[in-house]
Amino acid sequence: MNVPLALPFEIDAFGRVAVLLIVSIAGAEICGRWLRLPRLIGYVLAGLLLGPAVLGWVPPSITGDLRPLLLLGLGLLLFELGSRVDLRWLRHNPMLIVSSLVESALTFTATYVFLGWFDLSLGTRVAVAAIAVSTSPAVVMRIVAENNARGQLTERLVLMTALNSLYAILLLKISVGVVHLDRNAGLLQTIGHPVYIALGSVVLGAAVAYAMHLARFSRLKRESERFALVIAVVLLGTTAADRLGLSVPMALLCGGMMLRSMSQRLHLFPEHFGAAGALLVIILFTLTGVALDPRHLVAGGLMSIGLLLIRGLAKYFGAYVSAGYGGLVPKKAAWLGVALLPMSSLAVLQAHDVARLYADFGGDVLAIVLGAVLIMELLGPVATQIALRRSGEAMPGSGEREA
Amino acid sequence: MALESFKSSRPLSLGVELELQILDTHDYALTPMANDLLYWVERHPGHPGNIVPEITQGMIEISTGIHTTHQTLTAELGEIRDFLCRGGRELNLALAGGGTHAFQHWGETRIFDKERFHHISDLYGYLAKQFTIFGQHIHIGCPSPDEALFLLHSLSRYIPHMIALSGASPYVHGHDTGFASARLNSVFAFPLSGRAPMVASWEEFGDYFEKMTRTGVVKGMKDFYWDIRPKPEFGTIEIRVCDTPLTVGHAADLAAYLQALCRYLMIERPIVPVEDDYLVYTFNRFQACRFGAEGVLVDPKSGEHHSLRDDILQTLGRIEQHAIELDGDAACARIKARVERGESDAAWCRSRVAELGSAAELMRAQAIRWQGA
Repeated sequence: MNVPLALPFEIDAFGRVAVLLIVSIAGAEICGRWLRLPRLIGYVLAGLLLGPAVLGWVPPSITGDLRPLLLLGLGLLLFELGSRVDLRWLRHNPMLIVSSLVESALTFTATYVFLGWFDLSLGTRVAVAAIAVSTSPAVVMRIVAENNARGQLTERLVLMTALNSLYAILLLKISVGVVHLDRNAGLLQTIGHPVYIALGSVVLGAAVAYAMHLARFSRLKRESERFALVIAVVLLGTTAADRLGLSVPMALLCGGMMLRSMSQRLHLFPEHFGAAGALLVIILFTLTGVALDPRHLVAGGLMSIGLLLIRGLAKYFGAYVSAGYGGLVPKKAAWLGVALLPMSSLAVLQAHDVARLYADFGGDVLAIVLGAVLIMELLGPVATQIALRRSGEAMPGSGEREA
Repeated sequence: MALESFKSSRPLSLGVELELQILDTHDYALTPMANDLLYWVERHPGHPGNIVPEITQGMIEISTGIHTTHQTLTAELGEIRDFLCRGGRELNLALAGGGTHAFQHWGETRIFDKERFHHISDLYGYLAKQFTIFGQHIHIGCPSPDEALFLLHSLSRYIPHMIALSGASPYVHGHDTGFASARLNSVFAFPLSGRAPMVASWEEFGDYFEKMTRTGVVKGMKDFYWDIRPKPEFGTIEIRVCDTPLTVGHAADLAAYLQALCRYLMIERPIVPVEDDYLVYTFNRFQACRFGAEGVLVDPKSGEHHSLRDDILQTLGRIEQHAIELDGDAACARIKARVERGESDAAWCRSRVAELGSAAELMRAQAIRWQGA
């Protein structure tokens, strides 16, 4: 008898993705159910374990192959984050902007000064400090959803994450550009480029929001179709931003905010993006894990750890002091800075952008940022979760609908 | 524990308590921001009214001072609303009237961190969480405890009026219940809900109260969830069946209607309350909850069935002079117009859902409506 089966047989790419997903889910169960840690840490650890850094079972090329899915997942979370920001709130409570500027400025300054102790180029210091400003939108959105958090701390966490991500994107473009004034074509281009990116992203965001509006998103009844429409619009925004040389994260964040301001009707995204969305989120975090490499920690070394400490202190005090003026209950103000700690995919994307554009110092930036992200990928979600739970805003167990 | 003595108060003086919904401006679900809002209130001393927490974190209670006329009551309610709405804008939350939240599930509510509320929650279990419902309580001043008991029992016949006129809770858990006031169904589930015992003097009431406390079932008047209950420390009776209306204007109008009705009962004394008045009490109450003004009202003595709408309109005619005396005739005229046109808060909620397509959009519309008169 002829059995058409050759042993040992080769597991193809699909098989490896499948195993990666299964291990991710198991990791999430262990983290969420037994260790009471955020589930997304399980996804990251699974990626780290199977990735090239540890077992090497998943080839590094997988991050490249699945990159469109990763970007789509991040895009969805950014777009949703934007749509939760109500710009009218800033008008009614201007202290929020002050608070957010204080927190971000303090983080930028403190990390910049700290990096001055090391033998680094000006470009590296500015770029790393700019990246340190942003809180991870993906982690914050997931932890808020996982914990079904609601309340004033959550509201501010969401708002400040959106704002400091925007600042970080702009800051990186402006400051790195300014530092390299001599190398670029001239002042006009140096100033003009960030302005182009900012204005262009806002305009593209408006177009994306208008597309949602035209498609009558708020009136679509079926969750599946609502989800398909969000995906379509995010893909459209991503492609357009890419082609026009704009910032994809910025365009999607702005798009979400525009959507909220454009019409007063509710623009509710399908809860946790439905099943397909959940898959994208798992892939996003698992691949982040695959890309992690303990060697980065060696390369970044003390600098990465010091950077995180300084960044954490700056965020904590910046948020604590300014949130008090903004009317946040002192106990919650004390947790806001902790909740703002996560640093993740957005930082990685930015670091890679810098590395691509500035070969001379991009390597240093990558090393420091990736080292910091490696630690923060695991500590950040825990920090945010503890902050939400301790401040009484989490309602664990009733977040995602469980079978 | 003995019953405290009944403090005399100015006859027919008015006070109103309203329980409000605190909504997330993102999805218009109830949001547990009571303590955030109370912290904001604390930082603005000298604010109008009294603002306190309620059993779950998604609600807040406002109450007015003592008023003699509808005009000053309306003004104060408006000030409190404007004040709280300003706080809401600064904290990114919305406030709304209405007796229930249209789509909130009871399992998603959180108990406010206060000893009494935890006690209630432990005792009643899910009933306490299901008690995330929003009512209007109206206090009417009484010169003496016996007068208070007379008024309490005389008013029992008119409880369906108050339910029908205020009904603003047709939706529960995202579905149309078919009721004008589904909120009261949650109240009726409590073992000590219902009506006060038929006694005519404060002494007899004291005996009843003592017997009840001896059983250990109740500790104070607060443990009775009656539709109308005496409030000895205020010298008032408290009517507790109304849903929180969708606007403060209608809340004040309801109080004015009740005030005129009480003046009519106190001065003309058209009825001597007897136990048999309560024969059809729960039936009439159900009709008002279910159908609003379209329900029937059964007369316990004659056994006749009237339409609740006609009975309200007739009563408005009978109390007109009293309303004029109290300067509440404009409010009664508005109530009359609503009943004649068949308008109600419950009907408005249904029309919003029909037009806007979802319970979440209804809650957004309720929040917008609350900001106006």
